[in-house]
Amino acid sequence: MKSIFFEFNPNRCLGCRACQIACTVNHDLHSGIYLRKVTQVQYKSKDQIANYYLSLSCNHCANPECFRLCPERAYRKRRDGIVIQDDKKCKGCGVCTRACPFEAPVVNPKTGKTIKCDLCFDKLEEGDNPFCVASCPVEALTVYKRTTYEENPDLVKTLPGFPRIQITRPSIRYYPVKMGVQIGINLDYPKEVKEDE
Amino acid sequence: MKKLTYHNVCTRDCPASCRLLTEVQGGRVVDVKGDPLDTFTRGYICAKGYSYPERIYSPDRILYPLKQRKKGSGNWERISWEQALDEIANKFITISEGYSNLLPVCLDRYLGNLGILNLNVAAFFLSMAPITLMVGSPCVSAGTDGMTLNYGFCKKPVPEDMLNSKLIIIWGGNSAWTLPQQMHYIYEARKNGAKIVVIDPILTATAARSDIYVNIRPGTDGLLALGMAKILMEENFLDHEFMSGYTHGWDKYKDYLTTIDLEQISTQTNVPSAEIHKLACLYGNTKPATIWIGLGLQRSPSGGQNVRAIDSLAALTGNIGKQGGNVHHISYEVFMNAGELARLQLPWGLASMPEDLKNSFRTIATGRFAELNNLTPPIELLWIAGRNPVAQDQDSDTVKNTLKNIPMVVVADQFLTSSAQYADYFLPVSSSFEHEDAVISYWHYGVGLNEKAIEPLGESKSDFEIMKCLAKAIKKIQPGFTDFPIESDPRQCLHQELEPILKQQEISSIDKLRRQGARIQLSAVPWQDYSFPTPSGKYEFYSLKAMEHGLEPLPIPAQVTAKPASYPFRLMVVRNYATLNSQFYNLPNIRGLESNSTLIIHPETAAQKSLEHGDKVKVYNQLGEIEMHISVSLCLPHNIVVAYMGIPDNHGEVINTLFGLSETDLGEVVSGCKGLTFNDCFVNLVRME
Amino acid sequence: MNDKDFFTRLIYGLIEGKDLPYLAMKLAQSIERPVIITDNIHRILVFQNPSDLSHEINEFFPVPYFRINEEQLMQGDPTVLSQGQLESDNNSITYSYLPLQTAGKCLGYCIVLDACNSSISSDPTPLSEKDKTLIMQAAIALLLVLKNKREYSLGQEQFRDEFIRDVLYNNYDSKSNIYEKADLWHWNLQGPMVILVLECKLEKIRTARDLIPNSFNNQPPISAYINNQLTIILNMKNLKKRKQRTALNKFLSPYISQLEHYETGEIEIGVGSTVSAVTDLHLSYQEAKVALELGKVFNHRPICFFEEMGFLKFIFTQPAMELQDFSQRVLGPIIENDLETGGNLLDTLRSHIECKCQIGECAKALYVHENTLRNRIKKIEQLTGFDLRRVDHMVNVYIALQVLHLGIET
Repeated sequence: MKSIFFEFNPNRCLGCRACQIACTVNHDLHSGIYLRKVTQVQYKSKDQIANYYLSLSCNHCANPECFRLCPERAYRKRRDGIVIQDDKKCKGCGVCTRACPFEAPVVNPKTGKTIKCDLCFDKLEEGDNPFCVASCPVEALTVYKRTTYEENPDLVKTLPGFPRIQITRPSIRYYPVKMGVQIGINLDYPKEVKEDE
Repeated sequence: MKKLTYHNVCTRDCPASCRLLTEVQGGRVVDVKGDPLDTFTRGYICAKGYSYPERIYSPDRILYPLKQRKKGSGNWERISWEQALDEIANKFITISEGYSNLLPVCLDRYLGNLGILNLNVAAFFLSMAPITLMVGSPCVSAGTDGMTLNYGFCKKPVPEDMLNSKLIIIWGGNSAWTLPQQMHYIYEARKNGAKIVVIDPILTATAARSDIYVNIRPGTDGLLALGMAKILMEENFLDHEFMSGYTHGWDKYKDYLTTIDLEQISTQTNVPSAEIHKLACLYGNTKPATIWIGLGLQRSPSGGQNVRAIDSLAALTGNIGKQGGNVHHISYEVFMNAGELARLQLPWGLASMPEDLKNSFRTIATGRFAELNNLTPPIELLWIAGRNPVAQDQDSDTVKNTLKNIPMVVVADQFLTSSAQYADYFLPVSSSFEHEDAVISYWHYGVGLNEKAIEPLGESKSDFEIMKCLAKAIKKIQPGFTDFPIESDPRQCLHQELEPILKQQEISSIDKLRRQGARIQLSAVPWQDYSFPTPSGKYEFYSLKAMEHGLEPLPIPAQVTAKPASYPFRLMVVRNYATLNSQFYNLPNIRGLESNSTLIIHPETAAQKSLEHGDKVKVYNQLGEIEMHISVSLCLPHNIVVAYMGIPDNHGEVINTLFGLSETDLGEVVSGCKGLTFNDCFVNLVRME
Repeated sequence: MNDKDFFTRLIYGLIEGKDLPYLAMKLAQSIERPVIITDNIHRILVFQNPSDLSHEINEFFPVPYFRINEEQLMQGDPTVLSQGQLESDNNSITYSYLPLQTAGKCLGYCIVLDACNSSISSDPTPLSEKDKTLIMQAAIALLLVLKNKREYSLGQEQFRDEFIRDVLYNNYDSKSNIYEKADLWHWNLQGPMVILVLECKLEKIRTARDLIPNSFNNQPPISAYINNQLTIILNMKNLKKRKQRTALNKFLSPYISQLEHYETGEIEIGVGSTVSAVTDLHLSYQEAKVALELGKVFNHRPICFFEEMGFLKFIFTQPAMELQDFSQRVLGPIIENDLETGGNLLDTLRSHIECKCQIGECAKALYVHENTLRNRIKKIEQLTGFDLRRVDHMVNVYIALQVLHLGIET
C-alpha cells in the first residue's frame, strides 16, 4: 500500500513564503493563522554559516501523537497515510496542539476548533497538487507516493532545525543541505545562535 | 453558485508583473492564482499575490471620501464625492485666480500602481497650465545613468537569456525574495552547468543558495569591480577585438588600473585579495558569463559609478552582445513601444514634451520635501497618488512637516497610509480588480490585460475615474479650465495605448490579450550590432558626459563614507519577501509572518548590548528614534543592522525617520535629478526595559 | 497400481477438493511410513502416521536447509532426496526429506520418517527405488497445493492487513462495521485487548510473522504488517490485570527465542496498554509504537511496555539542550572523574540501578567485593552530592542516566 510523503529540498527553497500564504488563504484563514510555516535555520558549521529554510506543516506521521491523545477521537489516518481531523468531533481542547512536536494543529480563532493540514486530499484525489506544492516556484516542496519500505538513499529523515522525529516518524524526507563557498564572512563571535527555531 | 474566472495583472511596482486568474463568486473575489499561460512566471506568484483577496476586502480599506479636521489628528469625517471634488475644484480655481498660474499646485505620483491608465493622473495635471511637478526616481536613477553613460542607452537581455549563461553573478540583489520566478531560470542554468555567484553585504536567501558567496562591505562594489578589472587586465582575459573596435577610453582606464593597489582594495571591500583574484579569473575564464546588477547597490553614494565599474567588466571580457552574457540591470526600452500614456512611465517622460511647455513647469527633485516649503509662489495644493512619501522618502519628519504646512493635501489611495494621515482629503481608489487596465512588464516585456473582475467596492473609483470627475467638477465652475477628456472611455484609451503593440504582434483585438497575453519583441540579446549611441559611438570606459555631471570620467567611485563614531551601526533597509515597500504589511496574514517587523542584528552586537532574540530596542540617530524587536542572525556583519523597507515600527513610526537626505552620485542624466541613498545611514541601539 | 496411477489419483483428489492431508495420507499409505509436511519455517502442517508408529512430534520439525536443483525436482530425479536425523531427549528419528521449492523460494518440506518400529529392529529399512519415485511424484502435487495456499493467504493477508490498519487508524464508520468484517475471518475483537508492535530486520519481518505462536489466552493472535512493522493484537479476556504481564512474558519469551534462532536481527517490541473495546484499539496501537521508539532511545530492549515509560516520555519531549545541561550537571563530575582516573564509576552506577540497588547482586554482576562496591557508591555520592538511598535524589540520577542515551541523536 502506498503512502504519501513530503519531499523537501532546502537547497532550492527561497524562503519566499508563497506556500505558507497560498495555504492559509485557500483555507480561508485570514488572521495570521497558518497551517504551514516557513522558518529560517542558521548555525555555524565549520568555516561556514549554514542558512536555509524549512517549510513545515503536518507531516502525517506514522505514529501521530495528535491521534493518540485526542480525547474526542477526532483524528484518523487514511489508507494513503493522510492524517485528517473531523471538525465535527473536535471540541477545541487543544491537547493535540500541545502534543504535536511540529506544532501542526492550531486553534482557529474563528471557530474555536482545531484545524490542521489535510494535505488537500480532495485536490490530490483529482490528480492536482496541494496548494503549498502547487505554489512553489522552484519545486522545493513536492509530494510523492511510495510504499513505506522504498527509502530513497539520497534523502535523509531530518535536518538541523527540524523537531525530533523519533517517536512520531513524520512522513517527510529531506535533501541534505549543501552550502556554497563563503568568502569574507566573520565567524569569530562569542556564541552560537539559532534564529527562529 | 457559479464561479467566473477573470484575467488580471498584478499592478505592483515589481519586475514580474504577474498575470493572474481571479475567481469570482457572487460578485466577490474568492481566489487569486497565477496564470500558467504567463510565459515568464509559468503561473507562479508570490505571497503578496495570494494575499489579494485579503487586501481587497481588508477592513482597513477606505471606501468613502474622507476629510480630516486637523492633519495628523485622525479626526476624519466621511463626506460625499460631490463635496470632496467641489472643494478641491474650488481650490484649483482660487489658486488660478489668486496667482494667475497653477504653480502652487504640485503633483507627487509614482509607481504604486503600474496600470497604464493610472498614468492619466499625470496626464490630467500636464493638461492644465504649468504646475509644480516632483520628478526623478527614488528607485533606480543612479544605475540607469551608469548604464546610460557606458552604453549610451539602457538595454538588457530578456530574463530567460540567463539559461544560456555558464556563470551568473548576482551583484547586490536578492532575487529569491524580490523576483522568485527568476530563480527558476537561475536553477535551470545551474543544472546546465552554470555557477552562481552572489556578491552582497548580507547572506541573503539568494546568497545562501549560491555556489560562491562574497561578503562585501556596503557601498564598495565599484572598488571590487576595479580590482577585478585590474586582474582581468594582468591575467590577459581581455577581449582585444571588442576592446579595440568598439570601446572608448581603454588607454586611460588601463593607466588608472595600473595605479590601483589590490591590497588596499581588499581592505576597503573586506574581500581577501586572493579571493578577488579567483573571482576575476572565474569571470574571465567562463564564457558566456552574465552579471545581474541589483538595485540595492546603486542606492549608495557612489551608486552610479559602482554600476559603471561593474558593467565595465562585461566590456573587458567581451561578454557584451553575446547570448548568455551582458549585464542585466534595468531597461525602459519596452515603454517606447506603447502609446503616449505609457511613455510617461519613461524616466525622461517630461523631456518628450514640447520645449516651451516643459520649461514652464516648475520641477522639484523627488523626495526633496524641504524644498517644497520654501517656494515662491508657495505650494497651496499637493496631490499624492500611487505614492507614500512619509514611508518611502528620506527624513520622514520633514516630509510630515511639509505635508502639515501645505494648505491642501489630497491623497488618493486604498488605505490610510502614513502619508494619508497628513492629508486633508482622502479619496478612495479602487483596487485593480475593480477596473480595467493593462500592465507592461519592464523586466520580461510581457503585456497583460487586466479585466474588471468585480464592481468597485463602496464608493471607490479608479485614479482615472477620479481625474475625470475632478475635471468635470472644475469645468462646471470654469468650463475652459482643462481640456482633459472627461468623456474618455477606459476601453478606448487602452486601445490607443496598446495599438502599436497589437500591430507589432499581429494581434487582431485587445480581447485576445486577455487570455494569451503578449510580449513586446525586443532583441533577446542586446548590443549584438555593437552600435552604441554614446557621444563616441563606442562603449565608453571614459565618459565626458560623466565629467559634465561632476564625476570622474572613468568609473571611479568616490571614497566610502566613514562611520560616525557616535552611531556605530550601518542601518541597511532591504526588501522583505512579503511586502512591497510600504504595501501589504497592514494585512494580518502578512504581519503574522516570521520576523518581518524586526531589526536584525549580529550575535556580537546582541552580546555587546546585552540583547536577546525578541528584546525591544530603540534604534536612534540624530534624526529620531524608532522602536523595534530584535532578531539575532549570523547572516550579516557585526557592524550592520538590517530592517525591512516600509515596515513600520511598534508604534507605526516609519524607519525612514532615521534617514537624512542623501543623494547618489548620478541620476540627473536620464531622470532629471539625482537618486537617493538608502544604504548609508548610521544608528545606535539602546535596550528598552 | 503403477506409478502413473498414483500421480493421477493425487491430482484427481485435488480436483475433488481434497487438500494436504489427503496427499500426505496417500503417500504415507503407499510407502508405509509416516509423512510430515511442514511450511517454510518448519511448522508442521500435516502429520500422517497411518501405521501409528510411535513418534513424539512437536509443533515444529526443523530440517537442515539446502537448495535443490528445481530441474531435477521436475524430472522426478530421486537423488535430490536427502537424509537427516532429529535428536530429541529420549529418542532419535532418522528421515528422508525434500524441500518443496519453486522459483527459488522454499515453500515447505516433505519429510518421510523412517519406519523404526521399536518392537522389531532399530535399523531402519532403506527406501526402495519405487518409494522414492512415489515421493517425487507426491512432491509435485504438494508443491502445487502449497503454492496456491501461499498466494491465497498473501492475498487474504493483504486484505486483512488493510482492515486492521483501518481499525487501528480510526478509519471506519461504526463498531458493527468492524464486527461484521472480523466475523468473516472468525476473529474475536470483543473484550479487552492489547497491541504489540515488533520491529526486526526488514527482510525477516515475514518470517517473524510466520513464527507468531498459535495461541495466546486460548485465542489465536491477530497480526498485520503495517509500515514496516509487525502488529499483533492479543485478546486479554478474563486475564486479571496482575496476570496480564506474566501471560505476555510467557507468550513473548519463547517467541523471541524463536526469532533469535531465525536471525531476525535486533528485535524491539513495544507494548501498548490494555484497552477494553475495539474502538480504543487505536490508542493501544499508538502507545505500542511510542513504547517501541522510547525503548530504542532509552535502551529498554527487547520489550518496552508503554505503561512503564510514563515519565521518560515526558522527559523525551523536553528540549534537547536543557536535557543535556541537566544530565551534564548531575553526571558531569562522575564522567570527569572516570576520564581522569580511568575508573568506571558510571558503569558502576548503571549496574547498581540495574540490580535494583541490591549491593550483593550488583557486586556479583561486577565481579567485585561488596566493600569495593560500597566504596565506589560512596565516591559517587561524594562527587554528585546525591544520596542514592533517597528516592528524590535517585530520581535525578536515574533521569540523567537515561538522558545520556538521548545524546546520540543528531
